Amino acid sequence: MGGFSILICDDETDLAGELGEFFTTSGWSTIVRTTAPDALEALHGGLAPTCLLTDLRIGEFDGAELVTAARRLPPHLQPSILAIMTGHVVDSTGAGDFGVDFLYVKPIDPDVVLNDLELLLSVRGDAPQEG
Amino acid sequence: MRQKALLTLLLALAWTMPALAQTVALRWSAKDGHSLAERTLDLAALDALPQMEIVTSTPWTEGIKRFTGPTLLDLARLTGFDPATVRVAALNDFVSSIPATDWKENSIVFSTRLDGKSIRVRENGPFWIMYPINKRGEFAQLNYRSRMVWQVKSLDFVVE
Amino acid sequence: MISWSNKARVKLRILPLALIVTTVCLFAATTLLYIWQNQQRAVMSATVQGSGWVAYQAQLEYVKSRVEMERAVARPTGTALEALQLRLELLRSRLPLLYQAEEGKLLNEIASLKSGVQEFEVMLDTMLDRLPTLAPSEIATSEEIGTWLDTVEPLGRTLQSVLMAAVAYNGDLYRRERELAAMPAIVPLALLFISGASLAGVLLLQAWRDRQRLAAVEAATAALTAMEENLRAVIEAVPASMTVIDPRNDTVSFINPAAATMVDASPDHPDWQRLIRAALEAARLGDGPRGTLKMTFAKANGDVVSLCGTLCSVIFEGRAQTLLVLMDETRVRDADLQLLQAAKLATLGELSTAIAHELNQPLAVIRMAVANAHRMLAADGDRTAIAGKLDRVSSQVERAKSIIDQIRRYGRIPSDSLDRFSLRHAIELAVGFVAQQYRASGIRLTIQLDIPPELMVVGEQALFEQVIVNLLVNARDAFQEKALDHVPSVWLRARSNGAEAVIEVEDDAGGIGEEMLLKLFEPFSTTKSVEKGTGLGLSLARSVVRQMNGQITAGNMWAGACFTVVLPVSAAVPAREAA
Repeated sequence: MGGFSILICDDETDLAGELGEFFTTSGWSTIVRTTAPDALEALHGGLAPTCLLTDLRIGEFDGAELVTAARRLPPHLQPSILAIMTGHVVDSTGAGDFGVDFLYVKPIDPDVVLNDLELLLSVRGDAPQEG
Repeated sequence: MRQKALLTLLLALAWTMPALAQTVALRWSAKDGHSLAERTLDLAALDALPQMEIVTSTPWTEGIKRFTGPTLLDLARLTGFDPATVRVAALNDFVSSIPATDWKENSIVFSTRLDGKSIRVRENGPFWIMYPINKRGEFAQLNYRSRMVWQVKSLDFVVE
Repeated sequence: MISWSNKARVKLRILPLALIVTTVCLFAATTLLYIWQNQQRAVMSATVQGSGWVAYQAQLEYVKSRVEMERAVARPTGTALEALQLRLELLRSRLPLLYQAEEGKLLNEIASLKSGVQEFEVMLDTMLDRLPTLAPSEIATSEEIGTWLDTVEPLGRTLQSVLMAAVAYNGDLYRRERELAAMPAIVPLALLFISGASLAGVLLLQAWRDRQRLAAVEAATAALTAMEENLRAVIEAVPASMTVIDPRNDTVSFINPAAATMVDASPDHPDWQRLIRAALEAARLGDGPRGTLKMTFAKANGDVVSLCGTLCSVIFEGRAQTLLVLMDETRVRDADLQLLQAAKLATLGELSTAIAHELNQPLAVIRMAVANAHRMLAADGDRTAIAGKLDRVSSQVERAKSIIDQIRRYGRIPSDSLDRFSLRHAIELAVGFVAQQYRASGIRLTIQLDIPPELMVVGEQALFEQVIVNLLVNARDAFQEKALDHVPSVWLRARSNGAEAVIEVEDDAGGIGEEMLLKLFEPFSTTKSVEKGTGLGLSLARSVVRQMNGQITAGNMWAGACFTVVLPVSAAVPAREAA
């Protein structure tokens, strides 16, 4: 498996760095942004990653807005999978509430995340992009 | 003799009776005593002067009496002098002094009539100096009473 | 105490007044009586003299008339007859005066005088009528007049007796005057006696009243003494510390046992001066009602007690002094601390989400780093890189530990010890505790600390941090349920002006309602919903700040509320250690 790309957005630099490293070693093409505007800029710039994995609170910015912005992108630029990873306690809240595919609560095992993403991509039949 | 006596009597009556009971001798003299003027007034002469009336009770009579006659003021000024006092002498030689203020400030009557009739000597006549006692209470006091001389014989005005 | 009924009082006032009025009246009456008697005497004297005069005049005319008669008998000339006529007229005019004129009034008392005299008047009238008809110089005339001499003889006797009566009256009058002169008039004497008696009565009554008043004053004095003794006994028995302070030099003039236990039994002990100064200062600075105070005091054995009490003016030992009543509320304060703890636990519950978030961050990093390290190991990777991962894990563990430290610091039950601590450090710790919440709430927190780290204050650091946390949490909560057209901002400022440090927490959330401002620091007053706040935060914050001898106030600034904490700056060496 491999050839997928992922845009990671989290203001926790250490976390974002580790995540990026994890996906990179898993064979993913990885772009890490620590602020929401940077991430938005990357998306609008035609990045079109396979996955968008964002924190729910990025400084003063709401991660949910980043997700919404991604949904409004032209179809060919939209990420196939949207996921949120948050440190908040979200007992009664599910991924559907945010309109995303996955909602993870920190600390999450990165292998679980990787498995989830690759499983969903294979179910959807998305082929890893080249390049 | 008898006729002469009768004549004498008549003359005496004619002369003495009015003089006895009906005249008053007025004399004005200076302070040093020398005479300035003299008058003898009988009832007719007194009646010819302006008349004044005092209706009052007195300490010596009973009931209200009406005293009529010329004012002492008119008598005092009869000869043009303005005397300061008058020495009033009575028939019994009682003498009293009246200051000019009395007759100038009050209507003091030299009464020739009591209740309209001439006054007999036995009724304290013929002339009785009367103050308006009932008008001014102080005239009832003893010093004024002595000025209300009755049986007045003469008035000696003293001009200062 | 002696109590008088109002009626008795009124009577006591009226009685001397009545006596005085009576005395004055009696004096006046005596004087008037004297004057009246004198006048009467003068009138009587005049009357008697007048009577004598009238009688004498009549007698004189009678004698003169007899002389004229005899003359006419001897030589009955016309002139003699006229002279007789005039004399008789004059005599006749005198007679009515004997009974009629005022001057002759006394003579009226002579019985049958009037009728007797009137008979003579008729007789004289007859003679007067007859006289003008008599011919002068006739023997007949002479003879007739000669008979008249006998006829008038009784008149002479009557007049003589009248004159004698008048003279007798005169004599009697002189005798009576002599008697009056010899013997003081009995009536004025009696009046004088009564007046004197009244005066004596007034004086006696006054003296009696004075005695009564004196007795009342003595009773009142005795009651006062008893009351003072009672007061002293009460003060002795009261468990509160009661001290009477002489305001002239602020020395202790009385100590009750409780006060002696708290400080020292001897009023000369130096701790008393320390306590009095602190109490006066606390009463002056305190924001409670006038005369009330709250203070702490380090006892000789080192215990620090929390005291509340009052200062008031009392009359003690006969002069105005100051009574200082102090209650040891350390135990009460302990209860306060329990409440503070409860409030904190509630806050902790409320903040647990934030705490979880704070802790989840390092945990997430650790998990990621561990996963990456595993991969490096599996791939037989670079040992240095693996060690780097382990370092990262270690630092994130440190981060988690510091978060837990903060929670632990916040959550532990505060002790009652006072320490010197760095104000700046404490504020920074408090800020650290809420920083993430502020971030999460999107509130801009501007921190401006113009104080050096060495600036020390005395108190319990954990409690003080909690005060700052409380203020910041309150500021955060002020933005809730409010639609704002600007980025919510909170400013935390600290500065020092010599002896004091001033800490301000200001927000721009619109401010506090006037009504709320007044009772802001009262327990259980809150603007928050029931599940969010216990309403104890600010009242406890005030307790903590007061404990540090500081003050906390609230007011509205241009855009929101501003809380100001003023704390005394501790000297380089703490006073307690110096003492």
